Order: sequence, then C-alpha cells, then structure tokens
Amino acid sequence: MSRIVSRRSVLRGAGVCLALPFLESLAPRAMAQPAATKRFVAAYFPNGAAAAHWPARGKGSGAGWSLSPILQPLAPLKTKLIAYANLENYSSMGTNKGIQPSHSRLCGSFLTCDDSDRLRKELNVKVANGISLDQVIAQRMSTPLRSLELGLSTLNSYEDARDPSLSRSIAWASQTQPLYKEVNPQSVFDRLVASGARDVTTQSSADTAAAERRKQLKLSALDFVLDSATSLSKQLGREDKPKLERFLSSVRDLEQRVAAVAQNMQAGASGMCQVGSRPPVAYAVGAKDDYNRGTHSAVMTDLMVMALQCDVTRVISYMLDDARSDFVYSHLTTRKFSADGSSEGTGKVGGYHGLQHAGDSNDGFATINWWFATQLAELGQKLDAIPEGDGSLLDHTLIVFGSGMHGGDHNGQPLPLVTLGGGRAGIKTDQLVDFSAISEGRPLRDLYFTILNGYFGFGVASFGTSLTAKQNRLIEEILL
Amino acid sequence: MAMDGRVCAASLAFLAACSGNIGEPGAPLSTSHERPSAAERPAAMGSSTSSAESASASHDLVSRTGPRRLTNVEYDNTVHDLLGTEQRLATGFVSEEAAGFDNIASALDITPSQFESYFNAAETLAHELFTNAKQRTAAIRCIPSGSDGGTCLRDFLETFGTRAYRRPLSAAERTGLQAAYGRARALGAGELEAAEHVVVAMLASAQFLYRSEPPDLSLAATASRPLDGYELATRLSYLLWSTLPDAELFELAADRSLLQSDVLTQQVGRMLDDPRAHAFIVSFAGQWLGLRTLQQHEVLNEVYPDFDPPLRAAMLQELESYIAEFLFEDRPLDEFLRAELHFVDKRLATHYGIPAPVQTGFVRVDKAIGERRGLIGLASFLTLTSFAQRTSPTLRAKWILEQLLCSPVPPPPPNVVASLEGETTQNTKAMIDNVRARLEQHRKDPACSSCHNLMDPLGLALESFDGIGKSRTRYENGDAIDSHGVLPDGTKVDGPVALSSYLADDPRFLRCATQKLLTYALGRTVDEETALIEGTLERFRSQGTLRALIESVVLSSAFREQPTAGGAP
Repeated sequence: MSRIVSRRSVLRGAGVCLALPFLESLAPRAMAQPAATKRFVAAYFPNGAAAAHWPARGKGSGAGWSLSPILQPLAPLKTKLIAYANLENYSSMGTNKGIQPSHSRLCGSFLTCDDSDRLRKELNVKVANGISLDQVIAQRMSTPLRSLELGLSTLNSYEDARDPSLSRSIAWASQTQPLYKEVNPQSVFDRLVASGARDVTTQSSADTAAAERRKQLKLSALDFVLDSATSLSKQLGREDKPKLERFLSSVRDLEQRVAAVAQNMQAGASGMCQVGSRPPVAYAVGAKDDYNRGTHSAVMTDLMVMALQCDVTRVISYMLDDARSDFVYSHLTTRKFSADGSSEGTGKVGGYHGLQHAGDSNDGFATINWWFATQLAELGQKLDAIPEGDGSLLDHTLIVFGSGMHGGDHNGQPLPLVTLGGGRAGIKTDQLVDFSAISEGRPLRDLYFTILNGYFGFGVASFGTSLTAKQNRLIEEILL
Repeated sequence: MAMDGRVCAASLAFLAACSGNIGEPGAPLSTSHERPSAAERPAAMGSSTSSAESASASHDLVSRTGPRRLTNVEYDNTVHDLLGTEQRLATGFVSEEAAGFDNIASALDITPSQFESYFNAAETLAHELFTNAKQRTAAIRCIPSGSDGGTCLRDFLETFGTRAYRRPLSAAERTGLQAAYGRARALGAGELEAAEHVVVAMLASAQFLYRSEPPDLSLAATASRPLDGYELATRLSYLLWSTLPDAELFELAADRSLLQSDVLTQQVGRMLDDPRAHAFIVSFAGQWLGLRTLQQHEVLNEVYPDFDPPLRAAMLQELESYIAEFLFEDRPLDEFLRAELHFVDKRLATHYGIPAPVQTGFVRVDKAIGERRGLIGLASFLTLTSFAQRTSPTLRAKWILEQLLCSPVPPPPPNVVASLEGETTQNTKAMIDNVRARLEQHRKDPACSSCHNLMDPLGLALESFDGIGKSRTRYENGDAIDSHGVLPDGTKVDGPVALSSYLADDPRFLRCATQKLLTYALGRTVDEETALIEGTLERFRSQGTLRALIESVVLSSAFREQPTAGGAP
C-alpha cells in the first residue's frame, strides 16, 4: 500500500507533467512549454495524388501563385495556405525515389522520416518504425491528452509485405509502438469528455462530491491493475516484457488523466469550449451497409475542432484513409477535371487504389484527392471561425496535409503536400515554396525540423534520418 | 492462345509490373512448356522466399507466441459467457491484424486509447452485472462482509475469478482485490458496489485482457516447457470457440488430464460438436477465406444493379455452409477446391441461373451448377476477388496464390505507371469491356511479363464469371469470353472446370491449409517453420479432413508447449 500512496501523492502534487519519463524521447527535451499556445495537426492521405491536377501554379506569394484544380476547395483559405513543390521523403530509405514496397514504407515514414526496415533489423523485432513528429511534439505537451490519433478507415488492412501497422498508423510513440488510431467517433467523444471537455456553462458544483468519489474509485481500480500487471511482467522474459511495459504505460497514462481531471476542467484556451452531443454513429472496422464515409469524416472533423477548441489536446494525427486503400468512394460522384478546375461529372467513384493506377490525369483519382481537400477546408474553416488572441484558432494551429507518395508512380518524390494555418504563430502563409531547382528534392524532414524548431521553438537537434547524412536545415521561407 | 514469355499482362490489381523474381532468388522464370514435378511447382509458380526484401521481415526471430490481448470478437464472446451480458462493446474498439488474422500476437499490442476503451467497458459491464438481478445472482449469491469482503468475496474470487483469469488467482491477486474492496468501502461504497468495484479491477487487468504463458526462465534457451492444464484449455477454447473454457474444460485443466493426448483429442471432438464451434468458422475460415472481406465488399451499383444486401447475405451464407460441410460433415479437404456443392436460397438460385427453391431459406444442391466447381466457383469468392466495377484476373490469381497455395507474389517494382487502355474514371458499362483483350494490349513491358504470365492464366480461366460471380458468355461490349491460358508448366487451363481440377491436385493446397491453421492457432507467422508445417501435415494427411487437421495442430508440440527462447531476463 505504501507504494500506492506515494505514487498517488506524487500524482496529486505534480499533475500530468510527470507522464514524460516513460515515453522515449528523440532529442534533448525542453521541459518548458512554448510561450504561445500552438497546435499541430497532421492529416495524411494514402496513394498520392493525381499528379496532373495537384501542383499549385505560379510562384512566390499572394497573387503570384494560385491553387490547382485539386486544391480549389481551399480557395477561401488561400491566404492561410502554403503549397510545397518538390519535397521528398525517400532519402531515409533509399538513394532514389522508388521505394519498395512503396505503400507500407512510405506511409510508415510519413511522420517519421525514418526507415522501418533498417530499424527492424537493428532492433531485431518484428514491428519497428521511427518516432513520429506528432509524438515528438506531444511529449512536450501537458494537455489532458498529449495527442489524439484518428482515422477513417473501416476496412481491414491491406498487406504490403510489411507489418500492417506501417500502413495503418502514422503516429509512433516509440520505435516499436504504433499508436493505432481511433476510427469510432463515439469512443473519441467519450475520451474527450472523460479528459475534461466541458461546456463552460454546464459546470456545477453540486456533483463535485460524487465526481470525486468516482474518481477515487477509478484510481483504486487502476492501482490494482498496475500492481498486478507489474507482477505479471516480472514473470516474463526479455522478448515479452515490452508488451507488458506498453500496457503499464497505457494504464499510467489513464491514471494520470483521471488524477488530473478535476483540476483540468477544460473551458478551452479561449474559454469557448463547446461540447456537442455524443455522435449517434459507432463506425468501426467492419462497418457495413449504411456506412457513409462522408458522414464519418464530418463527425471526425467536428471532434477534432472540439478537441482543439476545448484544449483537451494540441496535437492530432489524422489518417483520411490507410495506405494502399482500395476503399470504394461511392459516396462521391466523379468530377471532370481540366486545367482550370473541376466540375460535377457523372458516375460514382470506384476503388481508390485501382484509380491510382488508372493514371495521373484520371478524374476518379483526382476526385478522391479533391474530396480530401474539401475535408481539410472544412476543418480549416471551422477552426478559423473560432477567435483566439489576435486571430483565430486556425492562426495558432499548423496543419500538415499530404501524402507520403507522389501519385500513380508510387514514388517518394515529389510529394503532394501543403500546410494550412499558423499565420499568427510564426508561419508565413500564402505562398508557393518551390524546391524544383533541387533535383533530388528537399527532404520532408527539413519541414518537420522547421516545425519543431522554427514554429514550436523546441530546440531539437535533428529529425528523422538521412542515408547521406545530410544535415537538417530550416526551411526559412515559411518562417515570419 | 498461348502465353508468350515476353509479353506482359498489366492489371489494376496492383502495380502493373513485376520484378521477375517470382521463383527462388536468382532463378530464371520457367517459361518452357515442360511441366515441373509436384515438388518443383511451388518454385515455378511463386515462393514464400521470393525476394531478399520480403524474407527479411522475420529473419532470426524466435518461434514463440508472446502475450496475446483478446481480439475484439474474443472479448465480446468472453464477457458474454462470463457475465451473461448481451452487449458487444468491443465491436467499436480499435481493431488491428497481421498475417491475415486478427489474433496474431504482434498486432495485439495496446495503446492508451485502447486501454481507456477497456477500462470504460469494464465499468459499464460491471455495473450492468450488479444492477441486473439475473446476471448478478448467476455470478454472486451472497453479500460480502467486513473490510475484506469475508468468505463471500473469497468464494466469489475463487469461482468467478478463476473463470475471468482462466486460472486460479494467485494469493497476491486475491489480496490485491480484497484490498480494492476495502478501499471502495472506505470511500463509502456499499457491499455490492464494492464488489462491483472488484469486478471493474479484474476486467481492466492484464490477467483478464491478455492470454499470457510465462516461459520457464530456468530452462535452456532452446528448451520448452509444457503448458499447464489451464493454459492448454485456454488455447483450445479460444482456438475453437473464441471464448473462455467451459466447466468441463476447467475440470480437465484442474486435474491436468487435458494434457493427455487422448483426452485432448476427445475434447476437440466434443467442442466441434458444440454450437460454439461456429466461432471457428467465422473467425478462422472467415478470415482465411474472406467472409469478413466480403461483408465489406462494395460494388458500383451502376455496373452491378443486382448486387444488394440480400444477395451479399446469401453469398456469405453459402460460403459459411460450404465451410461447415468440411468441418462438421468431415468431407475430405482435398475436395475443397472441386466439390460439386452449393447452398442456395431464392435470391442466389436466381443469381446462378437455376430454378429457385420452392421453400424459403437455403437448400443444398449436390451437383455442379454450370462450370462452378469448388470454392472458386462460389459467388462469394468470385465477388470478393473482383473490383467494384469489373473483374480482375490478376486479383483473382493473387488471391488463389496467396490464400489457397501460400505462394506470395512479390510486390511489383517501383517507377512503373501502367493503366489499362481505356480505363478511365467513367465506370460506365462501355468502359468495362473486354478485360482480357485490354490486359493483352498492355503486354508491352517485359518487366511485367514475369509475374503476370504466372498469375493471369489462373484469373483469366475464371473470366466466364463477372465481378459478382454471375455466369457470362460475353463481355458487355459483345466480345465472347475466352477463358483459357497456358501455365508456365505447359498445363492448359481452359475455363473454371479445368482450373479447379488443376488446383485441387496441387499439393500446396493442403500444406497451405495447414500453414494457415497453425498461424491462427499459434497467433504468429509460421511461414519459415517447415518442420512444423510438414509434421502437422503428415499427421493428418491419411484422414484428410479438417477435423483431423485441427487435431493434428492441437497435438503438435508447438500448440502444447511454450518455448523459453527469447525468455532470458
């Protein structure tokens, strides 16, 4: 009992910051929080983009550059957008842009800029990848949830000659721990509420005693779970221990959030937390018949807005679909694309991966990409409607939106990728940042390095790996 | 139409090019017309060690199964049997899989989000248990007393606890739960609310959520220890029923008689005769043979207006009944790919173009319907291996090679863009014309021919069935269906009947079935463990039934022992 008491008193005293020691860290940690409230969202889509209709036009900033047909839905947010030309993410894995197998490895490295094959051999384990950008950021956060991992895929994984985790998780807490994403909106809503998301107006003191007792009961149950799992772990050998360790750290994670929740009633950074009603749908892997990807996505977007608005978390990774997805986007009608834009066409959209192979000017392929852009626009506009400080929530949120793969060719260069937001938090928006002059491409890890150091100011020594030992360099163009 | 070694079949099934190393590393592709012996055929048609890249994933790794979290299906079945609940909360939990199955240990890790789901479910289910009188009295009949719950709680921990943890609780676990009871009482909880608290703690614990078989660390790294009775009962129960052991298994576990081979065999028989064995069809065969995939399969309605939920349900029912025939009626497995057997309701009969049964429900058809033979003639297989808007001979071939013959096809090389001529975004019927012709039209790149010459004849032989498994003689554009091809070994495969006969004779099928069942039963990949696969295969070959295969797997030392390897502290 004495151990339990001491752990609990530590928790009471120090809040959630103590969570840090059991997460692995990439680089020396700056314990201090960044001065301004800054947030990060990574929105990933698989299979690349229809290359004929993706690249932004013109050059420079403001009126000098314009959106592409696929990016048209972002027109209302163009002043808050940055498009990038000729980013690459193959150089941690190979010497040219063709990486094989492409889907799993280029998805796995999307937020890690590392080589899962090399790490798996080095660590002699079955499942390995680098630590992901969102988790490097999350480790430095003290919000009730350090990060959220979300996605939309309700299909079982496509095997791609690698562990499916590479194709289904862009967030990795450590080199061996994929953070499997949540696709069920109800679970996400429940987590947000359990982590303290509250309407400001509905907080009452009447229930405080009951809530405190519920909290103490939870902590008591978790005490037992931790103690007994620790005993179990001691019986296990070297190979099995890590699995119980991850169980233990998951339990501690919940314990700390339960312990901290009373002092963390979230009214949101801007005092505008709004908790909607619990989503009526429970989409999960295997969802069928009445499943609609459009509805699913809309609900997830609202939940992301709620999470950021209520300041339950400041870090979200979001997979609009899984690597090598052949999901049939039959909720979409194929659009007709031309150099000027797109208009509604006829016929339903088919399987994503099949359409990827139907060519880079394929309307169905482009329609799916276009729909992803509408989802980004929806998220961006909702965040932009929430005032914060001298701007909006979007102005204090940096969203990376892109794919780990070019297009029909499956290459790791050039990557279809934009960033949205952050204009009042140090990001110079409304421009096309063009690296076409660099034939081998500008490493994606430089963008992430810039996010870590230029945007967040963490002082991280480097991010990701480079086979040619290239030094990380800031992308100065995007910093104010 | 002979297949030329230099031409290339491109397809949307995956990248329309192949690296040319489908055989043993470095071996040239067999494009001659000499038929290799049965022993040579695997190398000629595909290989499990097809390239250095794909083999690297599992090199040097020790063959043991680590702690396995319950799958979502197992969780829901287990709490149903343990608590009497009808709630299936885990259907909404995060779900992952590996090697084609959701019960592979490496995919059954945990994240903070997942644990939170388990904890919330534990609270919900424990609360239901203690507020529903029928459920509660089935689990606990007395009222705990004193600060540690007294004999009532002790008895509860012995009966309920043993079932929850699938073994008797350790003294420390008992003490810990009694202490949790005391803490709840001290916080003002009543006796039953405190007991509910104990159940929350148990359902959220690793002992409940994981199946863990600690190695004997005193043994040499190369040694194994036999599983104890409870561990073996648990493995058996989750293998065949996807839930916790029943009373009889617990009794045989307690006195260790389950460790005897004859008792084990007899229990397999008893369990397969129990309705709970349906879980084996759904979980093992369902994942292996695509039941779950078909449940999620989508087609474009404008191309296949016939495909609707009732037709999908009928296809699923037929596949389930077909598998059940081999599991419960002991039909020899070597007929799996050529049996003349169907199960149809009115909807499916119409789909197959035969007279609809008079009565409602499904009837058994003990004869061939047209060219349909075996699994690959079922509408379910033919649909789940097609695209939303057309057939894919390459996808059908890939599925046959990987799922039925365990001969993985290497991934195609990078830097290749290929699409079928005329394949545009418009999924109109005009655009889904002669797939075969368009495949051939694209045989220009020699890089493609190596794999596709091996694969496409398998799929092209099934072109007389459309993307939802309906028989056809012409493409939409009026072209006649041509469903023949010549395999690299010279065998002419002319249509579905010839293909099913060819595949049914392929020795790789029984070996593959063995490999798949071992993977599912052990919760890990066994691809490299030739001795284990061959040994298990030899033990059941003479009887040749699925039941005999299950017995052979259960009697294997891999199933009954836990290796020390990797167990060094």
